[in-house]
Amino acid sequence: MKMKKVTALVLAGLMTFSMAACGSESTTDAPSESTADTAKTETTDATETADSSSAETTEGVTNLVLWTWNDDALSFAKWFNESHSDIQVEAINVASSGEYETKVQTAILGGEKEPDIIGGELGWLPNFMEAGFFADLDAYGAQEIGGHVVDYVWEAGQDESGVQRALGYQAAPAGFFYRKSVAEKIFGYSDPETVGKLFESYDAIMDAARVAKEKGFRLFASDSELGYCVYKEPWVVDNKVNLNQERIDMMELTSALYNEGLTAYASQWTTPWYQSMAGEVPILSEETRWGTDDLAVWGGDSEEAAEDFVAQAAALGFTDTTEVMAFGLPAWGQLVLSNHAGDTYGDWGFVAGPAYGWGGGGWFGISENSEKKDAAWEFLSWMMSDETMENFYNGFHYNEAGHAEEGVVQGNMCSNVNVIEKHKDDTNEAYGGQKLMSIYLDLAQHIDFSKQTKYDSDLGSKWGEAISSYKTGEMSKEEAINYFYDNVESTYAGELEVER
Amino acid sequence: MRPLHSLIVKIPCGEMDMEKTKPVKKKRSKLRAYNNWGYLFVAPFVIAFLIFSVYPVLRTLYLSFTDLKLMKLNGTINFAGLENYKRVFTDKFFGRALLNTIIIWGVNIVTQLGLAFLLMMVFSDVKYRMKGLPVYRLIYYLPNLIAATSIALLFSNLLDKNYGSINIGLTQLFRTFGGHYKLIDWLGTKWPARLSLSTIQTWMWFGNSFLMLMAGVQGVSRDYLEAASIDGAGRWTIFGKITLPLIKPIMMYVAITSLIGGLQLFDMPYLMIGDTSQTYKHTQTAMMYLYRFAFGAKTTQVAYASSVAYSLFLIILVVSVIQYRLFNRDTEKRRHRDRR
Amino acid sequence: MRKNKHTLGYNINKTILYILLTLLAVICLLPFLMMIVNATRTSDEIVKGFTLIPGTALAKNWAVVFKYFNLFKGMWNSLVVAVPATILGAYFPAMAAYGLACYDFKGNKLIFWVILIFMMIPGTLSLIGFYQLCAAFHIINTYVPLILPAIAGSGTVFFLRQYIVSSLSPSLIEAARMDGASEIYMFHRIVIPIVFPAIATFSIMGFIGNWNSYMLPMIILNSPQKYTLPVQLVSLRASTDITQNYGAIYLCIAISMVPIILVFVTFSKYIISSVSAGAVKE
Repeated sequence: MKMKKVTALVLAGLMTFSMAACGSESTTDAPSESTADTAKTETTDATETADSSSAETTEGVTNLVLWTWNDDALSFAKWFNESHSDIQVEAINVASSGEYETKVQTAILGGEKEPDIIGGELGWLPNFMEAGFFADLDAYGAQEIGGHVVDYVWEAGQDESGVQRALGYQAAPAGFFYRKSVAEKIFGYSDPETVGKLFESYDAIMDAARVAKEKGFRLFASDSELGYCVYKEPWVVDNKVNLNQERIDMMELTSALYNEGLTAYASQWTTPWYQSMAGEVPILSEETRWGTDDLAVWGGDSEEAAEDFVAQAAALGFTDTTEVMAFGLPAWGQLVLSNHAGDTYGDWGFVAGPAYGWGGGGWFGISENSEKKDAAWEFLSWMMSDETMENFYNGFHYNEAGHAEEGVVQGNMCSNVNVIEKHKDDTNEAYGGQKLMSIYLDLAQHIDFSKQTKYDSDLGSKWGEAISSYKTGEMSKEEAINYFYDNVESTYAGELEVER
Repeated sequence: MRPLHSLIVKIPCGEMDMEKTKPVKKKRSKLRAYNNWGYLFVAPFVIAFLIFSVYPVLRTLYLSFTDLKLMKLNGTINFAGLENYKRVFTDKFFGRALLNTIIIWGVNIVTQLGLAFLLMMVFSDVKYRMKGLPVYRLIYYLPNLIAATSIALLFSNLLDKNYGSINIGLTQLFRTFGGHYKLIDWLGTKWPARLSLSTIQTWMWFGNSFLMLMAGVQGVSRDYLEAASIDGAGRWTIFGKITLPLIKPIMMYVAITSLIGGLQLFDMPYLMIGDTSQTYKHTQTAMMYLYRFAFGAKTTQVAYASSVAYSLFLIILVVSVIQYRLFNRDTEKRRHRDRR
Repeated sequence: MRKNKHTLGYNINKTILYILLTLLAVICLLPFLMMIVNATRTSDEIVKGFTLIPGTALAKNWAVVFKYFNLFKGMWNSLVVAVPATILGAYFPAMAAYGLACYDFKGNKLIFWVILIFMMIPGTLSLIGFYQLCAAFHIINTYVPLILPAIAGSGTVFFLRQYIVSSLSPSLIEAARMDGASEIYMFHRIVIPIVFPAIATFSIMGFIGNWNSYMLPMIILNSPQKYTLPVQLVSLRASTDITQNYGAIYLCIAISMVPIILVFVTFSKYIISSVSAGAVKE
């Protein structure tokens, strides 16, 4: 009896296996077929719209797979699918599994035909291009689009020899968003021209931060507000690591903001930080400023969480409150602010920072391995079109149920100059009638992207690590700098030179 | 990775008696014609073994002497000699990662073996004759079976500084007794993070070690021990003369397999402490370091990762040999003495 | 001697020992208990206080979990990987073990020693080469690299060989051979039944190992719909939909443990004996 069972099991195993083997041979298009077949179950995954075997071309419909790390592309894909019958795009948020870049790298280097369209952040693009992941878009006439894309966004999508490989849909020049009423209380004025002077240089920012504290306010909620607005001199010059004075000044500045108590001790992207956009926040102490969540608040940016935060802070004895004046963010930061401004809606202004910085944004390119490059180009050119970008500007997005919602937040900064020009004179009511688009456009046009290297984003984060080790007192300035150099040396031995 | 480790764990005490097989074969030698069937039986395994085990290991070895950067198939590969190995041994961050690994593993192996040893003493004691072994060992062994990913996620939630149940529970406990508990950032500060990782490893593995030690002791029947005790041998004499020598090779075996597994520690710290955390530099293990160079975006340097892998292997080998020597020193001495 | 008259001290000591042992058992189970309790509570309750009394939010948490995560899909995928891998990882190594144990062919010794050496080599060494191999065969993002290598389970071959040598009498084989049984028939009808306890033990442990495996599936699998349970579970860490709901996270983790606990409960005898006695000594 036992024997029969065993043989049956073995046979079943062999069959499963041979099925898998056959499957993968017959469908060269989708090496995943075999397994998908055996695993056909109902999938309610929110990100999955199409069937898992969608890569198959059936009845004249070309199915594309797009990989993304953010939700914008999910909306783009849904919208595209509604207006197209011959091409359908399945957008998958691969970032949920952790390291997006690694996923893309293993897939493409592994010879995978999927994804057809690869999304990427600015910091990832140079490596993707160097490794040859992206197809040449010039062959599809990308230059025609180039005429109306913000320069730095366009350049970011070019490889070292100037071939267009990726297209960005968003421009993200950075500056400072500030609350006018708080500026009035601290400095006695609130018009963008005069306030702009407070953010002209690092010294001016430090002075402003000290004045704000004296008056019982805080200039910033966190000490990371300068992150986007620094001048991004390349990290590598002639194969040498370029740790210039400006970067060391930044380190001192961050440390001073932190150690002189010039901020509200919030961390970026946590509840206290969001809360400080809406009004008064408790002043936290030395002890609670550590970590990412300063208090036991859950729920990120929800309203409940905010209430919870205030109640908990009060229970812990943080009854002193303060108001925060400014947030250093890229153009898309206005969406974050609008979502959390609450009663302070309409009380905001925007000024440029000490340097033309930028942050975030999204780019898409076609995989070199894709067998449906034409269809993929169709999607990309559609995405970059005036019409699509106009909708993006209007805050188009899909809600949870999958229904289109328009105008949730207006004034999404896109990369399409035609659209920005069209809305140049739009006034934004949240920003006291400031013409944000024209300010953004001006800032974006000043961004110098020519000296960027592929090392910038990694060295930037390594330097960030050194800065936080220094500001928290874990390392002295010297130790932190040496730690940074050690870190670079161990990662890029033989590639980059370090001069201590 | 294949659960090779879990398979190795099943050797009772590392005795591999080849002798037993010989007489069997000699008897059969006249049936030589049948012996060719052996090739057929071995063939599927050997083919798979060559493809999936031998080739990758040799390929990695080859790559470690080249300058290949990306995992590209058709990329140009140049021979680089010993450059990568030179780099490994001067790489401060590899040193750091190795040190982290050894600290996390070292604390774990001491507590794990210590606990297992104590438990073994309790359960094998001829005087107290403890009952309930089947139930206790089931419970002690349970954490070992759960996926490391589940355990890592569970503890990163339980140990969170602010919303983790452990800190919340401790706060309540202190409050009940009128004290004040200053929140410990279990995963966000250097030593608490390392010790948390060690403790979780101990929690997962002490049951396994205990079972193996117990197996060694149970090799001798209780009657035998009782007979000894009736003969007037005290329990410490019995422990020293019978029990201890029995479990010594097992202790060594546990220590060595634990070393092989421990120096390859990956899942737990990788999942519990992200690279943006300030404690990352204190908990990054050698395996995480290797992974970063093998697969991590931006820092992919396949050839270098390969040499890190082989360096790690060399270190494991050397430490294993040292361990083996240490454990066997007394035995060898005694044998030496006996011979004289 | 004093076999039946225990002193008071003896009894006290014994009681203390039992208390300590039980305490250790409680420590072993406490994290699981906390997990189960928290899975039935809301985020708010979890953050505000610690308790071991279950809450009432189980249904709510369940709804949240399955709104964003189809954990059963992950379980199914894990099963699709682990079952074939277990079967292949038992059948072919058993075959090889029999071949090595009972046939005296040229190269037998060599194979045995190579196996022995490779058992000592940590998996780290093969990782990079293995990935390249998979890339060359275009089997990245398929289950093939997770299943097929089970055939090369050298540890299983080694132990089964030892087991066969110690438990299979050569005269039995020879008798069958005299009766005209074919070699293949003998393997299936005589060897497997005799070696079955050892194979079963290995299969259970192999299944658990395959089911729990994280690093390789993480590297090999790219499409979220193919993720095995551990990889899927990790992806919830990065999912903003669910990270705000701690009760749901605990529930996810708890659900992920259920299958293995069921296996443990069912086969605990095999598992415990495989660890303590080892397949060879059974």
